[in-house]
Amino acid sequence: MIDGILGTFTLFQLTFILVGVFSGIVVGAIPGLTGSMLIALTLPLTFHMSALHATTLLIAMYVGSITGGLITATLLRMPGSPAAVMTTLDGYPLAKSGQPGRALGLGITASFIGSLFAWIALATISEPLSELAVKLTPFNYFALVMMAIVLIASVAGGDVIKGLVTGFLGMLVTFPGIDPSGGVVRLTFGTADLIGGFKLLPVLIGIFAVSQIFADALNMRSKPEPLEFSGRGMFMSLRDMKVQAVNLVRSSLVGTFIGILPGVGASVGSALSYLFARLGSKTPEKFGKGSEEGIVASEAANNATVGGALIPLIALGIPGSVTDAILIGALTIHSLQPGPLLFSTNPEIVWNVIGVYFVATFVMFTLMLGLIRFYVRISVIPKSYLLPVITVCCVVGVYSLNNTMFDVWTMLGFGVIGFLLERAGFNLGPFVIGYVLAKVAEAKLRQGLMFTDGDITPLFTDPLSVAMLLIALLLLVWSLSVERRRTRSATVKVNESTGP
Amino acid sequence: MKKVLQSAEIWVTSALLLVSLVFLVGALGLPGGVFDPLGPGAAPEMIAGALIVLCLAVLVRSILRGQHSHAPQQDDSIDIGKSGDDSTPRSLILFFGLLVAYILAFQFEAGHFIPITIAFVFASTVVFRGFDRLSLLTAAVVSPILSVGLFYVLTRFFVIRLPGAF
Repeated sequence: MIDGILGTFTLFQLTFILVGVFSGIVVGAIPGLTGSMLIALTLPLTFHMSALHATTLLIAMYVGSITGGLITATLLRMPGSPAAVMTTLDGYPLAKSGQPGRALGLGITASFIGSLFAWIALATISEPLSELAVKLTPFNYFALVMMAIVLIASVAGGDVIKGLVTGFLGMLVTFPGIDPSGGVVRLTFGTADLIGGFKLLPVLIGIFAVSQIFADALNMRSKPEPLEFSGRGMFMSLRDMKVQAVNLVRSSLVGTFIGILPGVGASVGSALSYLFARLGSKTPEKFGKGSEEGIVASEAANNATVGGALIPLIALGIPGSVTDAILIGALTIHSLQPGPLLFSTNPEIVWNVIGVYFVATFVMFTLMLGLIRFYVRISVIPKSYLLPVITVCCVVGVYSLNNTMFDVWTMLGFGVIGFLLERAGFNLGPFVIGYVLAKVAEAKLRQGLMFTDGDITPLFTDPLSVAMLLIALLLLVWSLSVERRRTRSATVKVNESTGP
Repeated sequence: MKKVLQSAEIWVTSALLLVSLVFLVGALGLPGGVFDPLGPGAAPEMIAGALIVLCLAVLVRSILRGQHSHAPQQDDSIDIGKSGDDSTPRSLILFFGLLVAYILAFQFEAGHFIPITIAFVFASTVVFRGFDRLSLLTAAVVSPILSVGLFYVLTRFFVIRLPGAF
């Protein structure tokens, strides 16, 4: 671990961390652009880098992008990233009351402390968890993947059935191409370009970047009106720390735990810790009106989810969030196999990720405090200039993968699919998780069946597999019943209000 | 707004249902396994089958909600920062057309990367900002700077091969 941290103190590594965190904050600060988009767009640029430098740059971007959303959430009432939605509720009112520096300062310090908490968990839990994961049977792994997909569909927000639809759709589009187990060409429908399947990069850039560009193109006239910025009160005093200590620790722990759960992500983490902070507060009436506790809870938790989400990625090869799913793709592109064996096959990468996360947290804190005025200016650059350039980057990035226009058309197609799915109220998170995990699930199921001569009963008799499948089932039933109850109560309310 | 969402839901889900059916039929036509009991078609069959069931559930629910107009549709989206009234489908349609033309220009190698990109960035900026004199002037200044800048950064610094005729 010490080597991992010390290894980041080379000129190249530090430059990548600085560039990554800086660009992450800038993208996070611009409403409509997300960290997932930035990381997906940067992937083609990392082809010529070593795996070590590529992971350094991408992890640094991840850390920066989560924090950047705080700026516009506080000053424009527009969350720069979905993870900063809860910060908007109290950040903007506090900034509007004449304390923008205080609102941003609280958020920045809370982000820093939340990240450090998550780093401790990342550095201590990942290795033992991966040692445990090596002992999992193929059926156990299959059950784990199924649980992850149900979990994201159930907990990630929105409609459960629609979440499952996008999750299964993500799985379905991985099947065209050569069957990895038997070498048979399947589901290409006579298209020679499809023999290699839909590549990860065009699909990811299409789903996350192009669909977002279309959505932004639809809302082009909305212009943010920034508040006047003053840096007064940006640093948290020791007294502030004391007052917020319990809130900081609780929110960081909640964020880390939520991050570990596959596919749940920063938005849920910050919402949950905000709820806990409100429940535990002596002044709950201030929440939503500029409560300092609210800002601290939201920001500590959303940053902690980044470190938490890296734990299942490193230890199990299961993405803890949508961005982690893209990171899995990045590792695969660099011929690395994320999962329990990564600790033995490429320990330098694992410890580099952990070391970079630690150093990037300090860099993020410094860059946020030092360059805050610059980010405030950047965040109001009109999208009319940004979108054409981002679109060109999407086309070029995808083309450079194989120098083929088929990939560019694939990107455009998935951009349209992503846009339409979102317009119809489908959550895109499960899509990418399903896409990344489908091949693992299929391979493990077939591997398990080969071991048992086609006998599937171990899947339903092995205690660990049964436990994971049961959790998935219970979660599904619970989410469906909660959704049903919510819809019914809303129906009753509407009927009462429109009744005679 | 909810009606629009509901109709979009029905159309999109119907399209997904059709895609799942195509995949299911394709998977059913695949041979059985040689080395393993499942074969290449089993997983696509299971997933396409599950997707069909789920799409049907979404469709039935959506149609029932449409009939019982008292029943509100669940909408978990958060409105912060969104401005639905400002939607401009015209700019989206024009931009989409420009993007398709941009990709087609590369597909048929209609020219070098720089002029094609200048034209695309100029036209998109004008579509987004409007057709007034100031927008045209800004787009005329910004598009060559961005296109030439991108070309040099991507080819010289990142050593990426760009689309278009050389």
